[in-house]
Amino acid sequence: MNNYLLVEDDEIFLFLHEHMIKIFDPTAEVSTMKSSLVAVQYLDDLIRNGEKMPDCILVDLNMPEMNGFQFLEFCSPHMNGPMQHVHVYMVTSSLYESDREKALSYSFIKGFKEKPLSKQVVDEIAALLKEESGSQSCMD
Amino acid sequence: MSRLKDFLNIDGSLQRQGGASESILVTKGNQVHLFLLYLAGVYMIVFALINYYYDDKVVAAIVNVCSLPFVILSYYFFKRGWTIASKLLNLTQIIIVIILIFLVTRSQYGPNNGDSILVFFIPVFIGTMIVFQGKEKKFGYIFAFCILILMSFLILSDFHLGSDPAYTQKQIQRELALNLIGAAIATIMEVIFILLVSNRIDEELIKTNRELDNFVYSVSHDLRSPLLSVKGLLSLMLERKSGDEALNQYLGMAEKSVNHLDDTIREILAYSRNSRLGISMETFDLKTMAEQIFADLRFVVEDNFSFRIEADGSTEMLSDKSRVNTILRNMIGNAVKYRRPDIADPYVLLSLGRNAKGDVTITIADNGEGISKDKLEKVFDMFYRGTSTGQGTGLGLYICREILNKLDGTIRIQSDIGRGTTIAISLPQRASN
Repeated sequence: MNNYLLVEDDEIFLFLHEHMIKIFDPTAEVSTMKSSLVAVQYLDDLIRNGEKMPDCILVDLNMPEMNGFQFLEFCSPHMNGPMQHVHVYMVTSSLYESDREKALSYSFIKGFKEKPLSKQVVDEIAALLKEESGSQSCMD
Repeated sequence: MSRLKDFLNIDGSLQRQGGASESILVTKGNQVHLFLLYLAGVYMIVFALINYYYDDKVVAAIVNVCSLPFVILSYYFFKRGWTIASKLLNLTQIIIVIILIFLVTRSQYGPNNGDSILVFFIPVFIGTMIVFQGKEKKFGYIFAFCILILMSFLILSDFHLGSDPAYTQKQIQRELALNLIGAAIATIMEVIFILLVSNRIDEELIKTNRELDNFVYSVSHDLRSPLLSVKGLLSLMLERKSGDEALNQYLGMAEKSVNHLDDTIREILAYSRNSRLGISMETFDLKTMAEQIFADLRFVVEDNFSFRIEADGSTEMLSDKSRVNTILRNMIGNAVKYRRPDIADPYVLLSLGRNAKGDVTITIADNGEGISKDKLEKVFDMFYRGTSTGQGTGLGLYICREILNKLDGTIRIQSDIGRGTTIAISLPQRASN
């Protein structure tokens, strides 16, 4: 069962993406956060208490207070530690090649996806999660 | 919303921009005029003192009598907001003083003595072009033209009143030195001023462009976000597969319209960026770029559609990455858009190579609908759409050609209706390898 965290300031996209994921990855559990500041606080608490991380984080790019890149900056130092198995994706309506390049320059990011999420993209994300959890359980 | 309002008021913002770039020049012109007024005041006093000291009492008196009242009146006019009158008065005063000095020295010391004062016409001429800006510009041209005529006339004329003893050699040298130094200082200052202002205008333009780019970025984001959420909601509705065929049809049509609008926004954005932004060269791999585009389009097409790449040698190139990406995305997008799903093996084939000149060649071939001969020459026109299927925006190929013009590239298109289209692009390589 995959655990998703959606970080997005637009309520409709939050609703939409939550439903998309639940439809195409029926066993998924989805939590949503309207602000990246709240999300960062939440992740920070999880790290501090040594609790289980979400399996996948989908973060928007253009958000007030703290944008997607700043969120990635927060994640960056933890990606070799407590967040190492978390799949981070950027989901955005940006058409700028420079945004894509900047996002993909973070070594840990799994993908730069266009809004809105489609069946194919959800399938792709879920497949990658499945693949990795498979290899992880092999290692265990 | 306020950003949107600004966006829709394109005429208004252009006028504001035009006004702003003009007002820099006008403000600067007025500043220079004021500076010249102060300079005239100070210079005239110093000049009069020097001449008084050397016993040229007549010249000193002329300078003082003719200058200071004019300078004060001109300053008064300027403060009242009568800038044209103020400028004309100031310039006229300077010219009158020059001519009077010229005539007096000729009359006192004989022809061709003290003619060097005429070099002051040069900075006055340049100054005239500088101080009259904006709507006053035509006065500047007329006045500058009059100065040239007057200068030629004075040089050629032989007019003088008396024929007293000529200047001593020393006096002539002193006059020449004073006049040349004065005129040279004024001219150099004006040239420096012109350079500084043009530099400043360049900076303003760069800043405006950068601001406009940020603005276009925000607007495209603000316009697309709600559109994409509608697109997502529509696909969610379609996913629920209601048994109502008519409803499904409506939803399908709505989805098509939303996609069309999204394509239009994308292309307007691409056009605006291409026309405003400078070229930024970098080395990148064409094959990787094409594969990324293929990956993005994979879910749009049926399973039997194939994306193929043929590469001859290295596919690295040096060019403007973002622009080349727009071209490839458009071309491959067209091949996908106008594919024929009814045939056995629909494909798009991208061939990368080099021609004899070393330019990069990109050939995009498909076996889709094709374009008829009569439409072929129009496909690069703005808003021209070859089909009535409502799929295209009529901007894609136009933008590609604009980009290729900017990158000094070429494009050739060949097509057979019903059999497919082949587009050949060449892009010059600069200092790559």
